[in-house]
Amino acid sequence: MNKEKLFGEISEAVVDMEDELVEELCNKSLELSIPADETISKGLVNGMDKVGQLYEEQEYFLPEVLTCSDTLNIGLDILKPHIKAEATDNSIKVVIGVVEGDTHDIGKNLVKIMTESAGIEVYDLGRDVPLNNFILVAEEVGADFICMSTLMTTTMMGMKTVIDTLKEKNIRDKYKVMIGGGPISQRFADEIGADAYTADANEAVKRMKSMIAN
Amino acid sequence: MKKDQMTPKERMTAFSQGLEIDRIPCNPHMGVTMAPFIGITLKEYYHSAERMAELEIELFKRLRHDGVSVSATLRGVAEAMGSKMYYPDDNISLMDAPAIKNVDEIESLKPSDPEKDGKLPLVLKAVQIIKDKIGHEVNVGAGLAGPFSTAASVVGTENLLKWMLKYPNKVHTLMEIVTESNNRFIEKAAELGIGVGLSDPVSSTSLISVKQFNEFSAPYIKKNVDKMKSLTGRSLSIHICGKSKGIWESVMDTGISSFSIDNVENLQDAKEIMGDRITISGNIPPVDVIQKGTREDVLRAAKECIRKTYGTKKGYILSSGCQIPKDSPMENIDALMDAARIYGSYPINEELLFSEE
Repeated sequence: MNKEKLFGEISEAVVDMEDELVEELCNKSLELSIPADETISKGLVNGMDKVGQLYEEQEYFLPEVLTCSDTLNIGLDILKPHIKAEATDNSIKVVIGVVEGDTHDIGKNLVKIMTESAGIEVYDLGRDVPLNNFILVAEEVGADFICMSTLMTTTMMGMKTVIDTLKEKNIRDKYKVMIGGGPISQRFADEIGADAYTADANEAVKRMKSMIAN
Repeated sequence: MKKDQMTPKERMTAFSQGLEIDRIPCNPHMGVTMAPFIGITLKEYYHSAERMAELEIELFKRLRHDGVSVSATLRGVAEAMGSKMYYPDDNISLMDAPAIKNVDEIESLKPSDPEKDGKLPLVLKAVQIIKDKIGHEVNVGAGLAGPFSTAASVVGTENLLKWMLKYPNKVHTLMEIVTESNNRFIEKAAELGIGVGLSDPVSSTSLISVKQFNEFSAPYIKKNVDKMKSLTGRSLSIHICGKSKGIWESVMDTGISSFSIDNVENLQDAKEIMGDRITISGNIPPVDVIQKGTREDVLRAAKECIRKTYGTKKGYILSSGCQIPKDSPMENIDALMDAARIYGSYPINEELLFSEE
């Protein structure tokens, strides 16, 4: 089978949430000795990119994006073990999580999905993340971005604590800090000195890319 | 600023009949986040009917707002159906674990009993205390999560969203059970002679499509509305956080009588699309204006809301765009009430309302 055609089918199967088909096609790519990283980027991630576009165009909503992401992960689980180990140290790294005291993580998960499908490496700290962990992990992995999310007003100020701690440690300039979530606004971002606020996940990825380019 | 000429009860009774009133009604979204006002923690509030009642009564004494209600919270019915909540000392409750995690468990779920399960009995008791104490002056109500939002707390939001696509029939079964839980609560509310308002953030088009709303949420809201109407002749009000413009028509078709919209939407659009059919309420930014702004910021934002909805046929209720955050200055809530008196006293001073400053 033609390699490009196979990538196209995998991409389409991600968009259509066809779990079994993705499994079958990814296994086939391995049988044909197609490099796993190529199948991932030109097939799976290409599909997830289209999902992102459909989301932006409001053809797809959260239920579709979450389901497509599950389909994507089925493919990744098959292919990842076959990637030839190589250093990825020069890739962009993002540390992301829901701030301490809050467990609402759908928005964070969406940003994570979109960011990963843009080829950016994401360290997901999960939800109710102790504030210091954002910094510890960012330092440890050499992150470029710290992304924080919350849906609750009672936990918003945790974001400020993280930024203030970065300043105290004299490492504020090492990271771009991005924030988001229901009660968050540009005004709040300005107030606490965050580098960026975006209203949704697509915007977040675009902003990341533009900040990297600059 | 004119003094109120009517009690909130007189005002809302006349308002609902389309009769003359002294000023635009004002009903800030409050509840648990206001617990510090009577010197208690949020955790204490959640666990005591007496405290819930005391808070509402004290707030009413200060504000004289146009409706007093106790909310079963967004997760209350889910808790009554078996979800586990976590109550931090001074934060709103969080979901610890949903009642079920597997789609095959849906059929094992049972509708909750409002007189026995979770904290629902506390809510009913609190409402009774409030009604006995101040019910002659103000309408008393209870808040419930909309069926779709309750379902999200019964199975976990991500599961609900994904199962809608993969197991639509099972999700409909889930929705029936949840809707029955709400209906049982509504029966008790009707017996007590109180109103019911739904909050339904998971129905927002920030999360699901119009088509999904029409299939999985709207029919069940309608069942709750129909239950209330069949028992009392009155309908329910609804609040949807986040984006909702795309579903306004569908929400109106459920028979809802009043729609409180989030500050991400525009009240002018709401007036144009919904004003002839239902009462509109909203939408002062709760964080940027009420929590973090000054009295002047609140007055300015309220004036804009009143201006945007001016002349709306089924009436307008001044309110916040969502629940007022914890640690908001009380003076800003006073300002919100005052705005209804300054800009909303009848006959409306159009020159003042449409002046730039």
